[in-house]
Amino acid sequence: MNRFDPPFTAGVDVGSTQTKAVLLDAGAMIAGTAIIDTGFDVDAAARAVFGQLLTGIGLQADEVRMVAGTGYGRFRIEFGDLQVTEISCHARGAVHLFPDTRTVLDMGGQDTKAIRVAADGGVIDFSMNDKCAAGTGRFLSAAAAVLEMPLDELAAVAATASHPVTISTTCTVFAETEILAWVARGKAINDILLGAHQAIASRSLALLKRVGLQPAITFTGGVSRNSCMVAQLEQLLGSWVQVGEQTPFAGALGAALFARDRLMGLQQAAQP
Amino acid sequence: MTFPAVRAKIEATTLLKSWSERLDLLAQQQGTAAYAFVMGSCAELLAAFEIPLFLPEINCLQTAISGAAQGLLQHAEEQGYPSDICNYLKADVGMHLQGRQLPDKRLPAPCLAIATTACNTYIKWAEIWQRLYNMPLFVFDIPGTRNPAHPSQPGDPAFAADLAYMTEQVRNLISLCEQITGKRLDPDRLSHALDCTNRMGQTFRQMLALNQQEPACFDAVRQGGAYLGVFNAYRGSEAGVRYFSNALEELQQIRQRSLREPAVEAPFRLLFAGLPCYPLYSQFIRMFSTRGGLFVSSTYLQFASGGGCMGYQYDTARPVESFAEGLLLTTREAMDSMFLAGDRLFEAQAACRADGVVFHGVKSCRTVSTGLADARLALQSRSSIPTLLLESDMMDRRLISPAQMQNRIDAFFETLRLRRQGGAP
Repeated sequence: MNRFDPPFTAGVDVGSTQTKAVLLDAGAMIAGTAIIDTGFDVDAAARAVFGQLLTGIGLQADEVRMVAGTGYGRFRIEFGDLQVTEISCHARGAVHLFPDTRTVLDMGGQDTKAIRVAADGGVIDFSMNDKCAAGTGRFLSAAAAVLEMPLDELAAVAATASHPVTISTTCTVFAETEILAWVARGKAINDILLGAHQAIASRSLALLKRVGLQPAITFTGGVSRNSCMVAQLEQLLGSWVQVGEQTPFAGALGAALFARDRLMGLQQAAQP
Repeated sequence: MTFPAVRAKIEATTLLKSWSERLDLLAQQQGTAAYAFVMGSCAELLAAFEIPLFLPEINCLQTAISGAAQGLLQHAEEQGYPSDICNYLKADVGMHLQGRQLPDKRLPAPCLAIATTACNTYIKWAEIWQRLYNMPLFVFDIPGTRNPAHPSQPGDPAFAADLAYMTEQVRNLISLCEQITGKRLDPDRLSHALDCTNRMGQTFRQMLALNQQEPACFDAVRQGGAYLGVFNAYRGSEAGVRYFSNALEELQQIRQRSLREPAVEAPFRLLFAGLPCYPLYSQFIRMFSTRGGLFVSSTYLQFASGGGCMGYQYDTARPVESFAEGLLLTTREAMDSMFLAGDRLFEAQAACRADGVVFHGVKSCRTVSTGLADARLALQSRSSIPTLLLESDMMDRRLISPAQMQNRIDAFFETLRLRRQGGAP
């Protein structure tokens, strides 16, 4: 069938914007990933992403021995065997991807979290944005909507800016007003977008400092795909930020690792 | 298995209801009461003059638990009180602007207000009453607060000066009470009230000490809140003495049962730092208890008892001087315990063998929230014990997001569980 060895375990991360899934094989190798937009039906999103994951690698559902759910919709995943918070999952996933990780910045659609982690992926401390989407992916979505641009083009456009504006507001809703005001004053779109990126990076830095920032820093979550955000963070931190193809899947990966732990524990317990 | 201290909780509810009913009756008869804060309430002195005591902070938290607070906050905001000030003050002002009428009771107008310099908001709050009712306001200037390096202590020359200053202030308050009531102070009555508080405090300390041991006997936020309510509302009374005597007896019985029938899985022993989340009081505690957590100790019991459980014993043979000394030491201790919590928290978590420390900041009190952040950093610099910082409010439901709160709590317990599995100390 493929080069991966059973038993398989999976993690499903139901986020506010996107739902991700990761499949692990017996050796904790990533056998497959899948991602879809969450939409309003959390159950359906979880089923759909899991189906996509299985189809991609040619497995049947019963070949996956343990599934862990994470993200805000984790308790709605009917086929899940256990639920773990996204805080623990991103920590675990980040350390699995980059073993020298000691601080994780997870930037998703509706929240941003800074997590200080131990070498084994355990959470030492964490801090999250509080009741406001400023400083999260939603902030960028709002900017994209106001400027009538596709979300995935923001980073490239922002990267061409030379005189970024200052977005001073701490509220996503008011930020839209502020962006419109800059447009009305004739500021270039790329300068406005770079200002928006800098505003988010600055808020993220404050969260990172709250947990006692220690290198190496790994950037996870959907916004870790945004190269401009990575650059802004690196500039503010004055250090390298670890990102990769799999970092948007770190939450689902961490969940899959917890599922694997559970499965191995049960197998050990069943041995005579 | 855990055995909740049910009897003391029920008795506390009954006593606090009775306290509210007496105030309601007083209001119906156009009577008045002294308004005072739990830190430096002067309950024993007021009892000696038979001046009824009203504690606005307790009334406010009761409105938060009952759900009545939101309307009071809204009413105060409609009059121009800002959204980001102390929500105890704001709910109380809202109540006064609505004629001191709550869904279940009326409250008497003040004949006197007593505040201390322990909290700046106390003074402003009392000044609002004074503006509304034109009654006397007495503000104790507590010397030596927030002086971590060299607080004056009994035996120091500086303490003698501080005590003389406090005693003079107490004598001035006595004169004011004599004017209000038309009666002279009866020193024997004051001695008796102080003796009652001594006995209540002794018993309360024994109860807190019991919880330092394993297994713990009560939840320091849930049952602790009930003990605290009675301690504040009934200090200086025989009813208070009886309550604490019964409560201790119940805890000793619970301890014996817990030793005979130990829990299958030991709870995670937690130290609580900050103020409770009164709008979601039971739900907040359940967020921890359903995950296997038990608050075995709480800094709130220290500062919200006005330092009453710190161990000060009044000398009933010289009641006025000793009352002044107790007021100085306990009020200063209560306030300092909140803001100089770094070393104290390290020692407290070790003493109660805590698995984790939960900080609950309240958004409408910048002083508490600032102090908690500082205390947490100080603790983390000395200990690797897991900590959780939550921020909501003690009054305003609009400032609380239960789903986000639960998510953070779940992550905290995942960390605790992993540490336990890994054999963390």
